[in-house]
Amino acid sequence: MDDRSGFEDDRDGPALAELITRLGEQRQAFLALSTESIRRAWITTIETLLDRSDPIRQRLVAPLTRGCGLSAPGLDAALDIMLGGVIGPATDRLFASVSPDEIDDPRPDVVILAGNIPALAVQPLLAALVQRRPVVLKSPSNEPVFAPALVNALGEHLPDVTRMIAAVTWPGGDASVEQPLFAHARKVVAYGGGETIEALHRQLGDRLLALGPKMSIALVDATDPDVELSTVARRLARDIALFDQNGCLSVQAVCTQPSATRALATALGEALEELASTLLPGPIDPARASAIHQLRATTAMAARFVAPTRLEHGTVVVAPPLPEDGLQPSPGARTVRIHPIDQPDDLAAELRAWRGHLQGIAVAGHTWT
Amino acid sequence: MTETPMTDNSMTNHSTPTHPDIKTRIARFVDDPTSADFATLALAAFAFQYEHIEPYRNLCDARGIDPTRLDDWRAVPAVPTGAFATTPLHAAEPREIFRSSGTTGPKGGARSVHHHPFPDLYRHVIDASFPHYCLPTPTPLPMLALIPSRDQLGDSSLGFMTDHVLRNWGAPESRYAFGPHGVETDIATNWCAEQTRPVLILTTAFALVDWLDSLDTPLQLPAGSVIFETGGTKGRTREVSRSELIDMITTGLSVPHDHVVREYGMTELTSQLYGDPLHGGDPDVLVAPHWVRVRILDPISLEEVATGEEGLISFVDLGNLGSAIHVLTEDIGYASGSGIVLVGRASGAQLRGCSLTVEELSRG
Repeated sequence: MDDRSGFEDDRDGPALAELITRLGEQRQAFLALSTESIRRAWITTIETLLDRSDPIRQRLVAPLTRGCGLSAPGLDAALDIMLGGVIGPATDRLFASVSPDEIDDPRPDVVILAGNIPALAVQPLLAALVQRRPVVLKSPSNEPVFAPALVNALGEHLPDVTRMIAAVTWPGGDASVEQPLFAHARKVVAYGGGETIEALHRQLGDRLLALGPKMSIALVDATDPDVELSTVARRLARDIALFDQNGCLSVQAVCTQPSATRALATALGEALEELASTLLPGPIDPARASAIHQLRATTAMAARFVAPTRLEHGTVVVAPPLPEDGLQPSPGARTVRIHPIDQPDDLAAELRAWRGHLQGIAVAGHTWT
Repeated sequence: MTETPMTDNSMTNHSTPTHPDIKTRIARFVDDPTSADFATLALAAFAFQYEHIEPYRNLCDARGIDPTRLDDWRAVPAVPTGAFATTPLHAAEPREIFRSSGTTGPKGGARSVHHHPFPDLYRHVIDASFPHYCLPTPTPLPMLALIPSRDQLGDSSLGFMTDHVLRNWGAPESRYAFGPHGVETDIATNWCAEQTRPVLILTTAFALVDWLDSLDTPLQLPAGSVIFETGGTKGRTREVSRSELIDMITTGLSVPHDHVVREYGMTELTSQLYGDPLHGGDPDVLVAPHWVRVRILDPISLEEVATGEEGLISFVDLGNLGSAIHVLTEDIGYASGSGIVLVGRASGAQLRGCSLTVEELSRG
């Protein structure tokens, strides 16, 4: 099977406008498909992609590791998470709960995918299937293979659906291409960096659903007797290492009591070192490496603790108390600052600054009020 | 000499630093490479900095590096240039404070600050390198500076250097042509038109482009004229490739490529690298004076890479005795022959450099 069949590189605006119009005409046909047939086709497709021995999956490994900057083991772990998250009881409930007949505005959506998270397309495609809404999936230029492969694989089990979904790519930011397409869309959903989102927002206003850069943090109450630091550290390390910290749920900063920062940093450093042997880190570009060297050096110069890890396995430093340096995004490559705080309330002002960009807070321990 | 008064901010009445021995030894080595061994001096400078600069001592202790046990200058812990923005590093009371040009990336960033306790060593270094690389003959030349003066930017390291060069190596008719809004193009053009013997133009690349863009007709500088050019054309308006810049110089000023001396320096350092075309060197290969070692390091392991391989540029600069002799930059380059070739900035790192000061002033 050609993984790129169904892949259309239509850089011409009118051609894309025609494509989305054609997709929109398929809505009634989409509604005519049974929920069960769609659900079964979806599950079969995802299970195929979850199977590491399946040829479709195997053909995707090289381009995805290249495009997403992950190692092969890192990619496997990331795909297991992404794909595993779109099948199972929660997905079954989603199919059962949505009544596509009641959805207003049947126009297709356009989804602008980002390249840093492998298999990102499964999330918007699932939503489209549940709503029976035709969709155009735009892949980023650095990773143009997964979305077409997904659509192709789904089409093997539900041929009709390939008339309702298209996976394409074009150079982002080209208004002559995008405007005719966007004009026919109900909404444009965009994943990506701040500049991409800003540019699209200028074009689309309220019709843009922006899923831009996000950050997650962790709160560790080391005074809780049920909190065992090495266990917490291992779990945190996994959260940090998955997707090489590129995911919106990837923990980028940790807060704990001042008396526990060094112990937690030590444990987390050890956990990252251990995890590096199974969840191999991806390549690190020079700019990122520079930023991490700077963080390590300035931390050490300020006589704060730097966990003794190899840079490529991760970096854990003890940061000054907030708000001295503020809560900052990690430079990536599994780098974490550990901030001393006396109470979670100390974070309130910092978190306000991150409104719209904070995805999640992982919490360990409950004795903090 | 110039219509812009040049002031001397060196505070000559300040007390001399403690431990003058190592500074004297370095100054002597700068004058005479046979007077000492680089490795010995580098280790002595390291020990001096370990003793006198607390944040640096913290860094060394954290890495388990003890000057009494170190016998290889390559293992002296490097200070990333970014650290100069957050951590005062000085072995004695600063007598000059230099700040980077305030260039920031899209998300903003702090300026580097170089607290310099030994500006006399800086002048010494300039005198031992600039004339060799930039003057066709060891005689003063008429010089034109398209660089902000010390009055305009008192905290500019490049301004300090330019001031010293014009005072000590510039002929009486030397001058600045840089005003509150940037290059004073008419003054520069008219000055050049009046010159009958070879001149030296000191400029950032951005200022040079600004000036050359303003020329209605090409100028013909006297044969033997030299362009001292530093920085890139990084900025928010117009970027010009190196080959384009050379073409502009050749066409606009009648100065051949082998008389364009490229200088590579930064606020965090004291010494500079130069292209050496005046002595037949490849204009794009930057060479270091004998008191500086330049290494190309793997960005992750910081191990030295093979010749020809790209990596982060690091310096061991004895002229930086007062702050950090080992500096790790965010620039990418590779070793070539007796020097290095600058490739560019590690992508995503802060844009910075003197060119953007020119841009900022040009927009003022």
